[in-house]
Amino acid sequence: MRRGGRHREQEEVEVDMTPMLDIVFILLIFFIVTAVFVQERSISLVPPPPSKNDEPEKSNPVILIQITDRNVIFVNDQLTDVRRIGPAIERFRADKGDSAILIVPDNEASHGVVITVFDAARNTGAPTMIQRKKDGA
Amino acid sequence: MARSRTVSKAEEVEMDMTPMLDVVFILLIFFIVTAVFVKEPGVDVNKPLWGPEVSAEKPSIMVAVASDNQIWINKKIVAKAAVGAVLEKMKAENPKAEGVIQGDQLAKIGTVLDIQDIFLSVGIPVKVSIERR
Repeated sequence: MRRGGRHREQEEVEVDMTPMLDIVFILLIFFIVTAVFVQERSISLVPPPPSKNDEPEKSNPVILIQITDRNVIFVNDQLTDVRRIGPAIERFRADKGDSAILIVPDNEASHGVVITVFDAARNTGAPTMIQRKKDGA
Repeated sequence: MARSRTVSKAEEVEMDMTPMLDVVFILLIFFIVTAVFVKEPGVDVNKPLWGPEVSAEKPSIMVAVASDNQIWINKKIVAKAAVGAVLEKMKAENPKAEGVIQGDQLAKIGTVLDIQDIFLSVGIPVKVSIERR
């Protein structure tokens, strides 16, 4: 201590940075540990806002996929197995040209089935939308 | 320079800590700024399977709909009527928040779409969580 004091007098006043450095390191470690980089793979079910440029597409009738409260799937009123949706859509699209797909699930239908149908419909390359069933409809 | 070298020879070897301190401060500021305290829903859900690759989001608001249709936010069950108020509060805390709904495969799509409507009415962009097939 005495030696340091003399040194300080001769040269210049130096602040001891070690305690601050300790605190900064502890803060740094805290923020590194608490930094959670949550990554969620997710898709949007929100239909795109209607635009006026979509008019020509309406010339082709839409393919309607209904999912009942018991997860029974009807593609254009034809009962379809969940694994056969893709081919069924392809068939309708081959018949009627590039029509869009509208999925109308019952509110009681299960989320997993609706997403599976949405996936299958998107895989055909057709523009796909999910629309809520109106109450009482 | 010449003066300090003479001193260190005479006294003791001292390392200059200033550059390291600079780096540590920059790291500290980076981690403080990027620290988003994500509120996990607190329930495990079986997410629906999805084929193609999708981009991973970094959401800050997560709402889970469990297989029994109960809505979980921040490790608590929330009634559907109260979800809007909870989301309003979370948006006030973090105006740039983005939401993700974790729906169980067995959850009702009506509940998931209700939550989505609440998110949109509060003004938070929302997506639905999926699992790669």
